[in-house]
Amino acid sequence: MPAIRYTHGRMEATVRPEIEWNALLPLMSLIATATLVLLVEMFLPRGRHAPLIVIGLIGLALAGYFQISLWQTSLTTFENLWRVDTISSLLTLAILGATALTLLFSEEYLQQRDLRYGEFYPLLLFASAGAVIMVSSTNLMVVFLGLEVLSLALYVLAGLARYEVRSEESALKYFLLGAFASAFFLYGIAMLYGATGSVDLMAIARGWGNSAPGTATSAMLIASVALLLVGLAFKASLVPFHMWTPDVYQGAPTIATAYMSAVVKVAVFGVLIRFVEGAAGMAGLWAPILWWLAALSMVVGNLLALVQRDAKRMLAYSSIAHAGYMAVGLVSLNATGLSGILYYLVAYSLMSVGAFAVLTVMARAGDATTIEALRGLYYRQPFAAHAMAVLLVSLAGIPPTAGFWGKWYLFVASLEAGQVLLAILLALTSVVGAAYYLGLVFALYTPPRETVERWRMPAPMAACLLACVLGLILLGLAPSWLTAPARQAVEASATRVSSGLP
Amino acid sequence: MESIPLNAYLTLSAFLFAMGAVGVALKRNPIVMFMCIELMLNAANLAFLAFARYQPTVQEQVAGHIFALFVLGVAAAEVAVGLGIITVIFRLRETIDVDEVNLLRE
Repeated sequence: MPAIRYTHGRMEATVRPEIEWNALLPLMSLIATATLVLLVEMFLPRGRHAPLIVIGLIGLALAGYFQISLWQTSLTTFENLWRVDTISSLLTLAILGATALTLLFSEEYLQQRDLRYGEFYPLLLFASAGAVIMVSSTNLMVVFLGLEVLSLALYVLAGLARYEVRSEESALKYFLLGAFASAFFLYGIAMLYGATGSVDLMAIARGWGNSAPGTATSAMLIASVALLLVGLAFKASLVPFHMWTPDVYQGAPTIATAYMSAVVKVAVFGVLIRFVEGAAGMAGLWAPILWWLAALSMVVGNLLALVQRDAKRMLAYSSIAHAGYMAVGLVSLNATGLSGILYYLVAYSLMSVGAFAVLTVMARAGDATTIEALRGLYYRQPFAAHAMAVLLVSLAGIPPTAGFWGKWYLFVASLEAGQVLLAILLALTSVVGAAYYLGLVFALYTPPRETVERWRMPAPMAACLLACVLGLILLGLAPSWLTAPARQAVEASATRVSSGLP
Repeated sequence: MESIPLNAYLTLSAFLFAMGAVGVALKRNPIVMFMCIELMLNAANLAFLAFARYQPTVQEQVAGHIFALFVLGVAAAEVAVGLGIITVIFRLRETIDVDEVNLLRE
């Protein structure tokens, strides 16, 4: 049946555009899984979630299988609304992996905290679907909808502990500031639409090339880029748009924090990579702003993390610092920097999910996550303490873990781009960071004041921690296994953008 | 009838957006803050529709219209979640003022 299509002011009947359904299979299986989990949850007795986890993991594996079968393909479909390339494949796999890891250790925490809400699982899967949508398109309408699907699910997840004021307070803060940031992002899209008639990120390059300086079009493009950057910086928690991060990370249930720290970073930096590619021609305007955001995030994040007494809050400030490191790669705007971000995102997901997963064991002791409460964790739960030690060493960026290589690639990228000051800041603030990470490792192995009981380690959580630790060590020993495809992907994408292809 | 120029729409839209942004920064009642955010979303919608009117091709015009529709949907979903959170906080604390709901400081 011919579909009606509007072109250039008149209506013509054309054939329906070709749709590559294969490209959508990962997303479709993810959404189908989430819906199925939602339905099955209704028929289960309260507090019995094992079938939900099994269905969720199978669905994630299926989505991952479809995404892997798209590896090395590069295509756009749905009239350029959906893009599949190695960048989107890598980031999608990172999101699916982080979701699967969160599914593994969440049940124990929900039981211990008496949060027997089965809604947690479908919300988690829907949030992942939003994140996958964000990294799989350059069209800002699709990106905006993905961002909202992700954010709305996360607001609810942050407020999951609904008899606890701290959790609700974090949900309210996250909601108000998240919606505020979305409004900036949206207004940026409106300006882009006004300037170019398109809402695709790649239209920035075209519009900027066609507009003379000083005209209304170029003014609108500048406003658009500034507003988009503010919106994304909020979501990526770059200083000075970071105020919500410590409060939300601390107040939200630890399982929700673990998830959002990893997946939101992956999704937002995925969009930022496409953004800097599309706006590369205007780098003279936004690069200095991003330079300051990166520098401030590294300095403020690390210095404030030093003085925190709560491990969750400390990791929140550390996540701000890590966002700063990744922003260094954006400022460098070269293949090393952008592929370095891809590597860093995968490594950071493992580190962050793992570190917060270890903090969930504290649910047995009233969910106190102060560094004082974590003292002597080794004597309660040796495996968790060992895993946390590896994760913190990786967060500090000490070889041979993946955290070191992530920082190394970004360091090299900023030197290649001639950003010597930024490279020096990255190295110096990493040293400051090592102080608080290693301080926490020290606390874990300090003998506790009174005798403590041994805690059982549930098998799924042990599997999750083992996966994080092994993943980080493997990525640390053989970084080229990930950096080689990442670099190819970034270079292919840059060639495509510069030749004006969708 | 004289048609209203694009600049008038854009000025109004920018004014609404600025008013919303200032409101979020100054107000302490989350419901009012959320209303200010809605104002910002509607400012963007007004800009989309005004720009759509001046696009050369129907395809480009429709993009702005569709976007405005999606924003309406998103805003409705945000209301559902946001008012839910505010209701839960009121039940727990009997107040929703963001300065009084402030445990997360050390």
